Amino acid sequence: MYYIGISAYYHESSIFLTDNKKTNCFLKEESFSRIKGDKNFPKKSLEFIKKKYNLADHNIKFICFYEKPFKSWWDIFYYSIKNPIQNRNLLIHHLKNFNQGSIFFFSDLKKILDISKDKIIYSSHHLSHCLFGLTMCEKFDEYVFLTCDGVGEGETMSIFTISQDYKIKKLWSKLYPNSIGLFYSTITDFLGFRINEGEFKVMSLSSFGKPIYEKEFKEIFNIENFSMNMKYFNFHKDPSLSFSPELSKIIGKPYLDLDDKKIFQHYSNIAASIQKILELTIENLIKKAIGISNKKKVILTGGVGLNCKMIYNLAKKNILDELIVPPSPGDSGSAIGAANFAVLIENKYQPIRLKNFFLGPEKNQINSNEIKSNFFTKIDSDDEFLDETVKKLMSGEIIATYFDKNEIGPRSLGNTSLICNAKDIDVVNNLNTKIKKRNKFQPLAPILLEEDFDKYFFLQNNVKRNLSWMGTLCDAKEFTYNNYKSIIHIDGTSRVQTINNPQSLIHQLLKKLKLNGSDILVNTSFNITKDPIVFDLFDVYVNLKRMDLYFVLMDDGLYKIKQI
Amino acid sequence: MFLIPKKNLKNFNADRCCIVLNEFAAAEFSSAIEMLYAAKNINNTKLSYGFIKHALDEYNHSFIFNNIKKKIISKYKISKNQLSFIPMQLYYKGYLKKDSYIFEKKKLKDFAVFIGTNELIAEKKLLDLIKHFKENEINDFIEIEKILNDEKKHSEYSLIYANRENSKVILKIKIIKEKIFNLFRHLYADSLSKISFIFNPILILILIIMNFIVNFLELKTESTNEDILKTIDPHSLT
Repeated sequence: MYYIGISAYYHESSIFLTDNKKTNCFLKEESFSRIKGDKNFPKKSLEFIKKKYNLADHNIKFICFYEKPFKSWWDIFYYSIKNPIQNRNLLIHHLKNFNQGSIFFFSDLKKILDISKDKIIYSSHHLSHCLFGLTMCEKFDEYVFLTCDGVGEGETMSIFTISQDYKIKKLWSKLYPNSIGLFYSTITDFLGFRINEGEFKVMSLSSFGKPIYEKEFKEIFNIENFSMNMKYFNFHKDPSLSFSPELSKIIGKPYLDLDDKKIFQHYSNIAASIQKILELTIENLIKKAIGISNKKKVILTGGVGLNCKMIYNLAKKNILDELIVPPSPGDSGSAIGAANFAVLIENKYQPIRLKNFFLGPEKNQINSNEIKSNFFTKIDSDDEFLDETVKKLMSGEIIATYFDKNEIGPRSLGNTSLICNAKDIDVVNNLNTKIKKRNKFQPLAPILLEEDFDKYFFLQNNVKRNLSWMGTLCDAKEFTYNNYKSIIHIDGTSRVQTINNPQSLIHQLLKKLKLNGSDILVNTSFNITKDPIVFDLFDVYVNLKRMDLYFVLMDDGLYKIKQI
Repeated sequence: MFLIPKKNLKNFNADRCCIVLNEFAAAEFSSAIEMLYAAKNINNTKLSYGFIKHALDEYNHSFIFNNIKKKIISKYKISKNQLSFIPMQLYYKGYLKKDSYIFEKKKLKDFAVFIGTNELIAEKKLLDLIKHFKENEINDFIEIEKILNDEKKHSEYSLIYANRENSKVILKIKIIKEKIFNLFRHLYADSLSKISFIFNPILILILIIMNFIVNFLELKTESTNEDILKTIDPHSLT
């Protein structure tokens, strides 16, 4: 029997199927629709798993939506309707988009799957986040579960604990509109980046500045009681503008050109200030959670957890024994939390445990029309194919990887990546700005064997587990500066991924690379900005052509792109 | 596929130019996605290759339009807010349908008519844009002329296929039908603000009434819960 979790309508939609034994399949709708951040009901993903697993009423135990649809809609409405004239733009938008939201989950689902109504269930937004966190640990009763995001069902921060007999307690929560996530997003908007897309750019930018607006921002957001002074905001009144003119009075004009050097420094200072406020807020939230739960191990979920600079700085505070942020802490990963809710409703004592995070479908079996030989020619070489790959990497080639299964989070973890030799600064710069078309201030990330980590980097033990999925930054050692300058950010940090599975192809490749005098590769997701990560062989071909790249490493060899 | 409100092409200025370029970029990007989807789902390798090539052209066109837009933003110091290209907006603006892509709904011979007709319409729009660029001494019209040549090629190929698969009379009827649909899409895009102008006051009135009702409700969100799995109703929407 299958349990299916679905997350949709507000952030990138996703679906997770499990039998809670051996079968797990995680899909994002954007992979099929090719629209980055696609938040529509995951119709194409559902059709895919329906066909793959012959889904019907008889083999589905539950389908669980990750939140309570009406509550989610109502809580924002209830807050805003108290001032209908002042908040009219938001309310009109809210009413007009009534039919676009999760309230229509049931009818959207029924169009694709004929399933009895009692098999469709609903978790709660922050509970789904928390239950995704639960999949990460064995001794879950030792942890306190924090959720922090923009808003979900009217809540912006929550603290949970789970006892050994699976009694889930919600110890505390903070309500909309008081939200550090929405404050960070407001500044993201102010700096000219898109909300829900540009937050990681603000994080990168913050390393170039100083938090000179810390005092002012503390008056806007109270880091002790987590409340917000709404006179600086507009998101609760109008969905098209997140900040009010009052904010401009403090930090100047919005939406300026970052290419202007003076503006770049000013905007970097704003970014550094919001980053500082975020870190102080989450530090206080963790202290509060530890205080009321008496547990010093923390699992943090919610979109705010994607801020890996914050994780790195929190680790240095010595306030906790362990901090884990799962690889997909945002709403997309909540599909897994929703499936876990369904499992727990059915059998309280056997929740989902995830041992790895490569849960996408097997590559080369996604599309029935994809034939490798239609697009690629296997490179015939005297060398073994990994040796040939290393040879190409060492000679300055950028190589795409496409093997095994896709990962669940937003970061490519080696199986669907673009890689190059981290020693070669020119190649790394070319990959970053020309091929990936990223901003100059966004560094690329290194990937290396776990055994080599201490040689090049330093990180507190309490967050080291997050290195497997690029969940934190770490400090580069001087030796790294001298040899791999290209992967070090201006503040001396790197967003490292370590590999410890000897069976994985990327592990074997790094071993071979080591024999050739290099320990580190640059690893970035296999996509162009504004596009989702490649999914099937058609996407691989089209993206290689668009990026003007030639080689792709697959499970069984190194391939060269064909001219069609 | 081009939902450009006509008013944006009149009284040409830098701001409007960027809005129009953004719309062109969106239209080309959505076209690329439709073509890629067709390539993945057609059981004919030769046609699949054709759709892939078409998709690559459209992705490139989208990139070119975005680049020209960026140059104009930089040159004329325009606020870039509201001008960035957001893929999700392809749904909101009607370039893509969230329920199904066009290839899913149409037979191949009708899909070819759709492409051919829309590329013809796009050619006209591009000629307008080139004219406006020349009038305003924006040299990027050369890039757009290259796009125009690609679009001509696309419409030609599509209509050759459509001609082969449809009788002459049927083809003409289908082309007229597509042109009418296209006109309606433009009318819809043009009238969006007018519809809001009429309906928003009615909605505000409804909201004021709802405010009166909601004032009588005293709803509380629980901030703590001792045993969620026991108390939550999994079938409830609230």
